[in-house]
Amino acid sequence: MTDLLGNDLNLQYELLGPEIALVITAALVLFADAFRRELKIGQSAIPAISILGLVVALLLSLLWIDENKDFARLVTIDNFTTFFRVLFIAVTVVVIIGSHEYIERRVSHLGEFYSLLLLSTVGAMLMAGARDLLTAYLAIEVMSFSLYILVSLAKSDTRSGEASLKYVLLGGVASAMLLYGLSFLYGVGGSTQYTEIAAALSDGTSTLELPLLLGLALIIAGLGFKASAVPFHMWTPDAYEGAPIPITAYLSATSKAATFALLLRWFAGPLLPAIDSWQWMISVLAVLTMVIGNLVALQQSNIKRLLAYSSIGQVGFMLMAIVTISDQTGSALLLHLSGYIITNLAVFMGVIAFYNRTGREEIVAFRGLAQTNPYLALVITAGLFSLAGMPLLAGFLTKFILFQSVVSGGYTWLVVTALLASTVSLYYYLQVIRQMYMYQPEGDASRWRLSPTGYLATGAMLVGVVWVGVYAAPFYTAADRAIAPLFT
Amino acid sequence: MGIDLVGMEDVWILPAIPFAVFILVSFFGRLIPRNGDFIAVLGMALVVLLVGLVLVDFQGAFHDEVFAPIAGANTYSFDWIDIGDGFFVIEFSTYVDAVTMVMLPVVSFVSLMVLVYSIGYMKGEARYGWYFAALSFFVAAMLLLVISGNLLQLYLAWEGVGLASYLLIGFYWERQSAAEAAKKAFITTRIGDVGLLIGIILLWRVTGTFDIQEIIHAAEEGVFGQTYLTVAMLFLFAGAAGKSAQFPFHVWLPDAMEGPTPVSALIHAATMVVAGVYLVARMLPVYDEVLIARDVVLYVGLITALMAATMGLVATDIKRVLAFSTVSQLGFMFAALGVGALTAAMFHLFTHAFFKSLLFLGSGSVIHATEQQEVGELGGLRKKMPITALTFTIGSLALAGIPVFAGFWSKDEILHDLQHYGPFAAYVILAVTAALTAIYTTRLVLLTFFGKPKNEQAYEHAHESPPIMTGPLVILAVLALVVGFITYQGVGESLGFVGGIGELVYLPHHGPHVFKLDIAFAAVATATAVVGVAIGIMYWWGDARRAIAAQSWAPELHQLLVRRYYLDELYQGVINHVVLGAAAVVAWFDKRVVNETGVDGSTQFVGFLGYRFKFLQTGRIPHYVLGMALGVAALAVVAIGTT
Amino acid sequence: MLPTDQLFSDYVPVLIASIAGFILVISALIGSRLLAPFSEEREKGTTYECGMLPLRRASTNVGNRFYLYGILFIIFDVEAVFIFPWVLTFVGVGPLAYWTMVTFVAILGLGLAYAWKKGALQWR
Repeated sequence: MTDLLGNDLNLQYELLGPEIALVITAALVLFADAFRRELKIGQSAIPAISILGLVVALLLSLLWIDENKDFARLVTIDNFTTFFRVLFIAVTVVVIIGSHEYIERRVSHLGEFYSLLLLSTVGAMLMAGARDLLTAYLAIEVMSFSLYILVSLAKSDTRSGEASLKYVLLGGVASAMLLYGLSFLYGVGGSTQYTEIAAALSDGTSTLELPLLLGLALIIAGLGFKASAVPFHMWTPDAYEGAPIPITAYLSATSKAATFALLLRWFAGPLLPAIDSWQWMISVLAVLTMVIGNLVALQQSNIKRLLAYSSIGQVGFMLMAIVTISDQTGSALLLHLSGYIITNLAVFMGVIAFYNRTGREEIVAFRGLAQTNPYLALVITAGLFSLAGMPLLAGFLTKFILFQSVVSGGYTWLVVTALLASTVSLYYYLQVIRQMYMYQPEGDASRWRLSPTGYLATGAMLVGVVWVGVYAAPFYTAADRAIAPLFT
Repeated sequence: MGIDLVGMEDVWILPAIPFAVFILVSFFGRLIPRNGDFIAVLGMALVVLLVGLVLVDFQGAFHDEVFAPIAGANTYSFDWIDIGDGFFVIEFSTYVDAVTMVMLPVVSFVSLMVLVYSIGYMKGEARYGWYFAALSFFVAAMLLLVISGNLLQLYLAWEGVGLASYLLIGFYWERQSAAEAAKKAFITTRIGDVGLLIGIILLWRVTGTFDIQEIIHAAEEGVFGQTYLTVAMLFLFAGAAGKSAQFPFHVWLPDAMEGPTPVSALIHAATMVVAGVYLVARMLPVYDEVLIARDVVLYVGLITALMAATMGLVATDIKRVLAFSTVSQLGFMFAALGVGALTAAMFHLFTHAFFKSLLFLGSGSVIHATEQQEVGELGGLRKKMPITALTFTIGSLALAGIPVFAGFWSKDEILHDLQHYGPFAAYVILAVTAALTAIYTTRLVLLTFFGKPKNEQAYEHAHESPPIMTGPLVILAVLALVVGFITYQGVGESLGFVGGIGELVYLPHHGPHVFKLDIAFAAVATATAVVGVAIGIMYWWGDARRAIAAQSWAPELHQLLVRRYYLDELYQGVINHVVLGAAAVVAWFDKRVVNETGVDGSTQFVGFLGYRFKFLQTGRIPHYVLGMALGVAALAVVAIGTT
Repeated sequence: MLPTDQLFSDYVPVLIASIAGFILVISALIGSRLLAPFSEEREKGTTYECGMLPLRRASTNVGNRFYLYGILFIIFDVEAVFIFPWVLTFVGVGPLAYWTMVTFVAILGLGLAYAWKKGALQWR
């Protein structure tokens, strides 16, 4: 099979096995929910089907370890793709398990919820795998459209609809910017294929400085929106606050990681020859993001908004790795991304369990949690300390390796800024911890337990936070192997 | 060697024991009788025993000259994390040399004393088991810090002791002030820690290793640029100053007295706060390469010593006086390090640990008996609590630097070295500080144990503490009496030790540092101390009439000292106005845009734009888009401007 | 690869056309404003400008469900856009093109079936 230009196309459909499996599962989930009465199945069958599909997808993606193939010149299947496939599938599994109780009680449209979650995972996976600008763009939209709807699914919470509307409108603006930027890039590079753009930009004959710069600014803005980098972050607190908490967790994990997968693919691939043009743009963005994200977080009183700003601050740290992009910083970024996701999920799973019990999300509501549920307080504390970068927890080690690689990339001033910003962050994380440990509970002070799925999700994340913090070598090896195809 | 059971290679086991105790007591404390306090004490006793064995091994090796005293060949290490083909290797490594061998007995022995004492002091407290668990965690982290062979592991332990300190200062979290103090301590030291981390990264960047000995070696080879190394070492010192409560980070230590008194004795007098001294001592060969950085250490030490001593003169809380005195004495140690006098600094660290923990435990005994800690409420307690009074007085004499007592020998050494190697002004400042030390120490003893009881009720209530508390007091008092001269040159030898501390602890390129008691010099020092004590007695004996008169003689000065030079206010002001102000400004836009959405915001918005623009009823999305558009424009400007 | 000036020069006609368009519209509006006679009467402000009062407000509520119909209609409308070129070329491309289109239509069909089951086609 060849395309119109005469290039050979490899149409090995098994390369897309995980994506196909998830799409089929999504359809199954949708219909199982629609025909629930006729099929006589219970509510919990739907998450069960989803998890089954995810496990199948996971196994299918593990088939391609250490392969390097492409599907129809649109999608690359290499270790990088596999790494992110596994990561995204794992995140979705954790979110589904940890939020089972929450979703049954507080989310309308079960079938749609799970199938959209699966579809946005497919989008995220394709973002990591794409090797063509348009495929990447479509993958972004698949992920984003699913998320726009998911954000609105919180039953009886008026903020949810508002958040969704804001997210979709601003997302539209960002998409337009991105697409406009891509068209500039196409004009300059003469192709939508990553490899050909890279070749066109590096042969040095191009005289299209201005369009390239404009294109880069627009692309960075569009992706900056997805990654919630300042000043494109404004949707983040609103969407995080309004969305059902599992979706907030998902937004802070998958949506962010997928954007960074794309950033790595683009800035280590087609855009690498233009590094002098974008290095400063991203440095500025990184500094603004970590400073403003961490400062504004000081003022928050709602845990979801606090975590939103804290995640913005974290994005600033991660952008530093893009500035000094190399195989070292790349693998450090992948490691930090995994550590950050595990940590963040630990906190969010804890917050979900707390919300299930109390229905509250202000920071003061956490008063005395150490007495009413010491286990949950421990999970949240470990997560927050890890976010603040305390040793022996995931956040310290991964952040340290990230900072080191940036230093060896020659950007010491960025790291100094980042360290100062992360000192500020300690202050607001400590506020939450203080509420849990240093105050008496308000009202009902009796002890309570989590649901079994709650224990499973929080326990797994707690183990993960400590494991990455104490023995990160396997994770790093995985990250190292994942980044290798980008730099060969 | 005779006993090869536990040698210097096996020191990793030392932190492992209290850590195991921590796990056991914190998770299963409820199931164990007495919440597991005896496990903590027994574990600690085992550690002390093992430290003894390590010490024997060390002395044997020293005799056999198996290794040069400071460049030790006795490391134990395995690769903990090796990633990226050697790009990033974290070893778990231990390193034992003479500096370590000063720290290990101090940490383990004082910990044991404090744990035993705590059984009496904390009796009947809520969260009794948690207290012992947290204390064990602290000891584990502290031991790990002391035996660390590389900077990253040291940093890890460094944060660990900080965390333990945070937990223990905030132990009485029902009190708002305790919770605030815990946070203040944690965040102030964390600011220093950032400096430490930056310093570590800077050192790593050039050498590619975290191993302390390799870094020292590299520095001596001249691998670093002068300026670069100076900056790195100053950052490192920021971490040390934060942990050791040196100016300008000293503000957290007096507030840290909100914690239980035994905690103050262990963490905030004998062990954690000397971690900074330990770090600078450990890196001293590198500081010797960059004299500017070393001078900074000297001056910070001097400023802190003098400043804290003056604040100690007017403090009225018995524990705070001791806290200021600790800050001041740590300043002595840094000043000594600042002229390269490793031996004197470590010697003072060693003696100080014993008499200062004795003083804190003694004050704890007083607080336990009277439930008062303002000196204005105490007085005359020597009749009611003779053992406490006697031991406390011994500790005070040691602190004041009266001959024979431990403090005299080490302080004399510091003054001696400063006179020899430092600027003359530095010597004068420290001598004045030494006199001030004697004054406030005397004042504290007189106001607490002598004179007439000022609060009859508290006095009636007072009683001598139980033996489980006075026992450690007596042991520590004996040590405060003797550790000075037995580790001093000559005296130690006759008692069977290898030699004075000066023959063990020294910088390789300086050679052994032989103490010689310069009689004339010692006489001056003694005279200073005695004059200090005399002034103290003159002013505060009986009803302290003269002291009160002096107070009204210069009320502004008195107020300046009471308010601790207004530094706390200054910092709080900076935090409130600058940091939180900046946060507020940044948050303003978000607040405007974000918090006022919903019905409220949109109606206002509609009212503003009118009926025609009904389709814009989306909150403030236009603002968001405007922000994004400006962002793109700014990015484009940056891009065009930089290429 | 095109040089910068040529890349932009391709757009010059577009630029001229848009500027001309703007000028036309603006001059027409200004012209009518200047030339046309105006009379300020009350009736001018009413809906039909002739004194007839409208019975209800001009903007009425449209059933929410209408959008569902609209969307379902548009989906199949757009599908036709894909099918027309396909019809002309699929014989040349081969069986792959055939099965791709079958899959595409099947997915849309499934979507319709789902919407039907959910009651989207019922007017309540």
